Amino acid sequence: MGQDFRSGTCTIQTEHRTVTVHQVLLYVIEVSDAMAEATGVDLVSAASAGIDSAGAVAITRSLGLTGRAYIKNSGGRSYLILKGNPAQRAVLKGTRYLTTNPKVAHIIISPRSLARGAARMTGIAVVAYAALRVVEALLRDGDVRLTALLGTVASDVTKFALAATAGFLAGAVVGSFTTVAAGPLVAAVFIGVLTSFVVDRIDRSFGLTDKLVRTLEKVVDKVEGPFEWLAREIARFERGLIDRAVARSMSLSR
Amino acid sequence: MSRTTATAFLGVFGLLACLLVAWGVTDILSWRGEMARCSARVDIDTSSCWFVGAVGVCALPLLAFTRSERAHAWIFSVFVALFLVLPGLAFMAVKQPAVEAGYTSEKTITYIPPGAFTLVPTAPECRPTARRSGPATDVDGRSQ
Repeated sequence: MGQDFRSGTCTIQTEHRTVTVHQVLLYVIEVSDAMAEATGVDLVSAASAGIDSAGAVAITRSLGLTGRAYIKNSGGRSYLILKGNPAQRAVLKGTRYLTTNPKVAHIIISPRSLARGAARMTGIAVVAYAALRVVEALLRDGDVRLTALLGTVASDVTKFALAATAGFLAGAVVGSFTTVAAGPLVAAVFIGVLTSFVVDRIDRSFGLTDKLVRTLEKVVDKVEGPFEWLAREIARFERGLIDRAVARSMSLSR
Repeated sequence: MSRTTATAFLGVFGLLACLLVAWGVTDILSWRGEMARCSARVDIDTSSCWFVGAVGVCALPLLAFTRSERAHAWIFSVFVALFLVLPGLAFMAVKQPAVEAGYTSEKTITYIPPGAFTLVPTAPECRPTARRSGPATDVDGRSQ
């Protein structure tokens, strides 16, 4: 194959071509932007929704479309009780499994596991959004003070966190009412998506991201102001010293 | 999560969803009204079409009224169906009169992804889809 990865040179080299890391990052940004333009869902949100949907699919495959399940504690041990037609279930033909059984571990959705999932996805989103926006800002090279970068990342992450929180709450609430296994995940996915549409709309209508960027610029101006004044004063003092030294040397030479 | 807390949250979700639906429906009716009056410019945001789909979320509090698993399965099915079908219908309710009245947008109007669009009448004469409820205005907002 002749594939070669040379560390330190930021280059991935194959027999046919050489790709630099910043080209790869550009492709990732282009894919994310194109996805956002075509579907309204960017790469990070799509990954999050995909992971949640994969969970829903796994549960549906394990329990059947109308599968029902609940957890029952008996004799100090907790069991997952499965209801419905066993013929619809691909793997779990029995009706009672210990919750510690690896076969059923992936389909037990507790509020704690939902919260863990939402927190994990928010963490991934923070890293992914920050990485995408940083590369974008570096390549565009027009945001010297990085206020636009900070504002956009903060806005993206806040919007994602709000959607993830709403999704988690919906999943947890619905999960406490129903034994339909896929119900909590369906509620979490749909309400999460709806919340992201709502926060996007609020952002568009009220220009919150732009306001945040402008506020950051004002803050940076205020912070920079005294330092700029100090730098100007030092430069003036230096110029004064130089002028005085030149004048003194001129008078001595006469 | 206790049942009381969950019921409270479900109620809040239902209430917020109803407000969202009201927001979406108000927007759509207002845009249709502007198109019917041949306004010189109609600013729309297709996320309102998705807000109409929140009717499905309004149905979720019904989960608290029954413990029947069959009823729960039905509620989820209705929730998903409404969420997927209603935004499409709402979008048609906006796009159809816009096309009929000769409104166009610089960008293609889509509801996937939702976004903000500005519609302007490009046809020589604006053809209102409904009975005119007010005088038509030109680009400067003057009555014609």
